[in-house]
Amino acid sequence: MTTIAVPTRFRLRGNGLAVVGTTILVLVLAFCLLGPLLYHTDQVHTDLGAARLSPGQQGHPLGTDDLGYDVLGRLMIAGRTSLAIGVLAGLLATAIGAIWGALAGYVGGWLDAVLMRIVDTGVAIPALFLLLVAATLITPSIGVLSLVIGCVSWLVPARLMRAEAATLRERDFIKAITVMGAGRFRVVFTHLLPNAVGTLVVAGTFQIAEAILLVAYVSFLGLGVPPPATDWGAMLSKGITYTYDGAWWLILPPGIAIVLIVCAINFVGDGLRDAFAARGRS
Amino acid sequence: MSELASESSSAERPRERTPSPSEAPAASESSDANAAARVLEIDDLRVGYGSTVAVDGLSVTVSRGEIVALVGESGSGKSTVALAALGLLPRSARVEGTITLAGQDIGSATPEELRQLRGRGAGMVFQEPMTALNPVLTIGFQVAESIRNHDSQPRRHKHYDDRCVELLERVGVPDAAKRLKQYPHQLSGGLRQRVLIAIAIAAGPGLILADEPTTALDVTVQQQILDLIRDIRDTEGTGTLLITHNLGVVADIADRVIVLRNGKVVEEADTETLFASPKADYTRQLLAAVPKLGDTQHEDRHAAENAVLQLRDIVVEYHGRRVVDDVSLTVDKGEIVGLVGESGSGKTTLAQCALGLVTPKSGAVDVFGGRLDSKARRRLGVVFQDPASSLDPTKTVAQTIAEPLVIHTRTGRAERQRKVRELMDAVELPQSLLDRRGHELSGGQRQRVSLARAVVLGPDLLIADEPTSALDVSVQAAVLDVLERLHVGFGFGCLFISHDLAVVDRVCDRVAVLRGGQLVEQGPCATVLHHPEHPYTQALLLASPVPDPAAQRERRRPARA
Repeated sequence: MTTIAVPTRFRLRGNGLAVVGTTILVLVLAFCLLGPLLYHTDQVHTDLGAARLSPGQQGHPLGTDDLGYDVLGRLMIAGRTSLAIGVLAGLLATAIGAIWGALAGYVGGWLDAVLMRIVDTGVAIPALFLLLVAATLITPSIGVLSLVIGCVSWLVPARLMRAEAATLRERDFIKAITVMGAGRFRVVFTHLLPNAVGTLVVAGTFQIAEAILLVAYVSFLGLGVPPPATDWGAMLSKGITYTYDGAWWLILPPGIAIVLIVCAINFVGDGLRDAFAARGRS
Repeated sequence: MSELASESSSAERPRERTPSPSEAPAASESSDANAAARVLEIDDLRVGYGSTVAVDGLSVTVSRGEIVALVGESGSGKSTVALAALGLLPRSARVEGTITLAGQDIGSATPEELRQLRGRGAGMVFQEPMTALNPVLTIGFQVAESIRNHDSQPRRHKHYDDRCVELLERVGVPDAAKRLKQYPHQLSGGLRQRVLIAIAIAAGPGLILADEPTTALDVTVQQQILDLIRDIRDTEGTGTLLITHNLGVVADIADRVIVLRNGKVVEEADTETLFASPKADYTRQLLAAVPKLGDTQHEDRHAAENAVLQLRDIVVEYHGRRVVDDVSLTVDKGEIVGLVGESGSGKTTLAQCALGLVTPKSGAVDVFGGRLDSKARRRLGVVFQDPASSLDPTKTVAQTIAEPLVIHTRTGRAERQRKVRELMDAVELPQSLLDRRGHELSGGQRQRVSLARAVVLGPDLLIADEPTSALDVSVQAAVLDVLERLHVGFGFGCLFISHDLAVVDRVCDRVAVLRGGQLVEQGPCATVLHHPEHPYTQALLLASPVPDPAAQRERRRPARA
């Protein structure tokens, strides 16, 4: 990994958008993870006496929601949920997709046909639909949501990895190691996957961004983690009710947070892709 | 410089050359005959990228009707010279010195003047005819384009059809009219290179810049292309700057030779002199490194011990096309068998059958007298052609060499390390490379690592598919030395695939010649390569150029007749 990290970081520095993306990412992470340590709010007990205060009132910089939770504090802990699910689901999707695609692309033949037709079928069923069905059947928690989102969004990484594996398979070093008697698992895990790390890292970042969006959808529809826990999608969903009362502070902060983080991750992903492409050329 | 130019135009040349520069058509616009004779003049050229120097003080003159060869190994800067002559170097390059092409200074030329010079001043022929042609455009379109670019009143491409046919016929493309509608992939490598030459001479340039024009071609095709270049020189009086690494090609065609090393001119002389009495040490080393047919003494081996590889009546078909047609071949223990043939002869496919990468349609593959199972694979080593792709870029040299040990044995880490170090010595690589990765090594180093990996388990059979074809001659010589020493040490049987007869003669005991999937001739090297019976083997032998101008002239006579 060290040999990859060095040129990548070097290249990222020259890429304006990627630097912006990384900066935003670090700031948002610090805000969600470190913020609650410095800015103490009660996010468990409701306080109807302090409900729907507008920003600045009674020491609430971003006001409070309909149950009296401080919006700034809530934004932090909601972010924790969104990011945790996003990262876990994104990694899970990439991992499943990588192994699935590597096997299909490397082994080829009927196994390839079967594995990839399963992927095609999966793509034909809307992920959101599967997600909603699953969320109604199982009580949502961070773990369950990550698992479900990961299991519905591994299809794209699988296709990417299959293409990569099919190309790598024709390279002489793979042939050489096969001829020497290496088993399929050895070839896939010690040679194919490490060589596809560039593709996988890039696919992984985009998967994380997508998972954050998916969890926002699900929560927006009221099928997210149960209260008092929350995430940015759920905050949006609740805030929508009070839009016509002019309670902008209930929807703008989570909305902006989602847009910011998704854009930032995509910038980083684009930067990584350029960096790996440049490395491949040199 | 001027003495050189006048000398080369006045001195009697041993070659049959019809036109003297004054008879040559066109190019008589300049009043000064001597200057007009010079189509390219490079004076003290220096090219650098960042802190590296690609070309360091090179001066060359090419006159009309003269073929000047620029010889060097990879990294010698020879290709940079061709690009510089057409003003094609990237912006990041620092260029000093003057380049005069067709009487115009490249350094001070405007972009439009440069465009005019490219094609009209000098035509370029590239190494890889497939990538130099656009795969989605027809041959007709691409040839017409090169004429149209220099037409003062450009018309529709169709308008130039007649001229295109004329040009294609000039460069020896059969059925020229039919070819206009074809695409590059429908043509053979040799025909593509002819098309490229047609494009290069379309605007009637005084100079052809040929950058390794025959390197990607088979020897028999190479000879045809060299004949064509010579013929264009003889009839049109075009000057040629030939960039090549192949000293045989130089001996065959060049009038004058400039040897480059690391961007510096090592030696410059006319061809006869250079080959007869090379002055610089480097030139001598280069000449010595070229394997020559007949240099190796073959002992009579009474083999027929136990066969390590037996291919019997192998037939391989791809989509109904026979690539290997009923071939039988045996490699005995401790014996090196050469498999020779041009591209498409099926030699690599045959090797892949032996390796179990291709399943033959019929016939039997016996490795160590049985099937190629895991136990047999343990006794099998392999080296592939392309050093760039034969090592896993994510693994270190130590990991790569140790991999077969990890797969087949339970050797401990310390034991593995000891074994790897031992092999690094055997293939003559410094231990300091152990932690490097494949892309940090040179081509020759990578092939040595491949060899070390192939023999780490002490194999009984080594299959080497063109192991040195991508290497420079001096590196090739060193790698072949290593192979021979390993062979002596381990005593493995070896199937050695190559297109280079001289390399096979040097390394192998027996040789089999393949053509179009069929076995043409097989037997001891001493017989097949020195007294060939089959006409194809004879043609193959005659077509491979030798680095000796006099001998080369001798050889060309019967080949042309």
